Amino acid sequence: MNILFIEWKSYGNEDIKAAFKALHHMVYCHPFDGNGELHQNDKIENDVKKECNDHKIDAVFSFNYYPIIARVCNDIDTPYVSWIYDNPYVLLYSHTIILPTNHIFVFDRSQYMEFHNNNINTVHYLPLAANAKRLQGLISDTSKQSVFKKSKWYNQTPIAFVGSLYTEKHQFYKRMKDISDKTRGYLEAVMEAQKHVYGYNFIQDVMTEDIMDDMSKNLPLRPDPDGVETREYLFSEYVINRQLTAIEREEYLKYIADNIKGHGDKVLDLYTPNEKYRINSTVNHGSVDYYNMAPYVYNTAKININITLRSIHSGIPLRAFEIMGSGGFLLSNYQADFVDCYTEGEDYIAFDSKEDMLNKIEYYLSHENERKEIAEHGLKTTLNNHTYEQRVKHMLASCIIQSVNNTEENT
Amino acid sequence: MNKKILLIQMNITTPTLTSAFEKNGFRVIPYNMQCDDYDKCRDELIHILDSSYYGVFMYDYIPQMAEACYIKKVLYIAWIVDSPCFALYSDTVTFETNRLFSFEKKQVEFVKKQYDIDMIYQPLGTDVTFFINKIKKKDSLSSDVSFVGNLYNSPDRNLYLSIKYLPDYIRGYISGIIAFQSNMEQNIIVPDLITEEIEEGFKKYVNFDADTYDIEYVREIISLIQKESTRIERCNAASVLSRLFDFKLYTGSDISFDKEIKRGRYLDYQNELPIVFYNSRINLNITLKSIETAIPLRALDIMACHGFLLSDYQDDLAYYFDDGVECAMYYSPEDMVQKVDFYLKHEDLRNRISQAGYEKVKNCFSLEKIIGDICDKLNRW
Repeated sequence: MNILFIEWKSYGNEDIKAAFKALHHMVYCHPFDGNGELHQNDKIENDVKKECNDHKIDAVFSFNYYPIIARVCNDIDTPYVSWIYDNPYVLLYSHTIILPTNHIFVFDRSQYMEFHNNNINTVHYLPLAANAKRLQGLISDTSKQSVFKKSKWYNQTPIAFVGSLYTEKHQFYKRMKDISDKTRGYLEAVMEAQKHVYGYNFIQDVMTEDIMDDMSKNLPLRPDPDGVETREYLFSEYVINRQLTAIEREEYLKYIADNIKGHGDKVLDLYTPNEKYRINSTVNHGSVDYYNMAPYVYNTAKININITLRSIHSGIPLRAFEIMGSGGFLLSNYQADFVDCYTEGEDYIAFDSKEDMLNKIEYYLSHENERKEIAEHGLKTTLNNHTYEQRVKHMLASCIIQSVNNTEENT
Repeated sequence: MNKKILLIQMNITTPTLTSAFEKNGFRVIPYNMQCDDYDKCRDELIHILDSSYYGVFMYDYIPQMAEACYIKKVLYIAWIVDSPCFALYSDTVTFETNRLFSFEKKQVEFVKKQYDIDMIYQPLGTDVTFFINKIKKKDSLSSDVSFVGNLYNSPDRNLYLSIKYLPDYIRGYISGIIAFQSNMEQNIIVPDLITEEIEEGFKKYVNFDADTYDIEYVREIISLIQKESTRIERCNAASVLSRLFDFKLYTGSDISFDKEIKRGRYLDYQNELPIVFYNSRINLNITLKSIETAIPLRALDIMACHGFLLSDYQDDLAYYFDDGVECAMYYSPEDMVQKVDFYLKHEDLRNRISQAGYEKVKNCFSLEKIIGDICDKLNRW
């Protein structure tokens, strides 16, 4: 097939292009500004249409979803394959998602179910992936390894956490300074309660009109007039669940720093954009290049901690695939969708409270053979079952099935 | 020689309890105790007991009774049938003359953790024999849906309503907890949720009854929130059901908060409750939230009266009874309404379910059988 790849500064560009090529598809790249015109623009639309015509494009592909691309594809009756890896992703609620040329893939099953239950059949469930082959190539490249070992990112402790702590300036939650005490109490209670629950997220369910009114007065987050997202969705996912994740990550990492003993005065390597963030017994390496450096971090650490962003209600985050694809040992919070791709206890280990996490850290730090076996198994599963090629095949099959159905209907 | 048991009756109990013990080889001395002053009652009990007694049996746990039995070297057989039971914070719990039973697994866990002693988990039994003779058809006590119970909307039944002032933050916090809990089957009102700020706020503005034993303050706050949560759930259910169905509420509580709610007439509980259960097409049970996992007596009584039970989710109910076969359970306020609607439209199914529920209760949860279980466990202690 001839694929028009709508290319913006996304993670995974090289990996997906490699996957298309490995499957003998022809890839034409069309640069796209992911921060520019996303809904409507004559020049962009005409350029894309022209390229589709010139190269006899069979399908258009982008990471994430752009209404402007969806409308173009609908106009020229060409499948638009959209693989969403950001979460939350508000453009999923654009009214354009029902356009029949859309093949949209989300990695969170509960989110997929939401669309499915509303009879939207252009949205499908597809877990993310890792290019484990490339990652293994990186790991076994000894000269690159030694560059890593001399770099500022080299692990100094047995435990690593890679991810944002959402403590940067202008966080949405902190901007709501003037919400009433009552509202503040309510929000803190529901976040505290949600902390104890894995497997389902109730934040949207408990947003009342009064709470929404108070928050809306204090933070100008409004649904897009072109979209069907609710203000409950925006505030729950972009504000509350995000703040909850900030609280949880800090709490859990502090808990590790305070309670893991016997491995020197530092016990945790932290890789996070906010390089000024300090907790005891922790080395903060600042941001790490996810593509070229993080794989070494995952591979070198004895234990990689994953604490999923709470707006990802059930899905497996990209981080988890990357860790296992790099041969790293993954210790993750429980997420319901893991069961679709991996076996807990064999490929990775899950925890359901911070005490459980601590117990498992202590156990696996002192059971090296088991730990290595699990990391190896997780890598093997990722190599065999969760490659970009497999995902590409799945996504393109969806287009083929639809076009065959359309042809059948017409004959 | 039959073992002699002093059976302390503080509320009305039926002959079934006595005959159940007797069937299991015990000789029962019933004793009506009016207890305004527990210390006086302890002295009274010390006076009555002597070495001819095997033990004292009562529902509930009262530290002064445990003391009396300990002093007279007689077993104190206490079956806790309510939650919370703050008396479990008394260190009299550790007396080796105690034989403790509880219907609520969380209490059993608590006692094990707090004192490292064994309290035996014992689900409740219902007096099937007693009810058989009471049930009969009666139109004036019939309705499509009924609920019997307190709404906890008066300050004397709900401490939260008697609090004069609490900072807005804390009020908001409690609302948040209750809103979250209403979406969940399992109890999430746990000590972790009660932050220091909340605890300090309560200590400053709320006067829990001064108690003689060292109750964890947090537990009192939790019980308070659980009660308030139940109030909201029961009142909302009454409001919604009144507008959608032929719903009767049998309660002593004030229902003036909603003109739509129809109050069923005043009941002689002993004799007429069974008739209400028998004549309601659907009997609603909404468990007090401080009964975290156990089956409340109300649910068993309903089934014992051949009533159709629609109950909120309780772990133990789900464990012992098949949902949709022996009773019905709902998992959210919306689910409750849908199931009322569904079961009202399916009379045959309803009848099959109430019959199956009755059989299960008759065979496994009759007072006779349960007392038999208790006697077994006593003999093997």
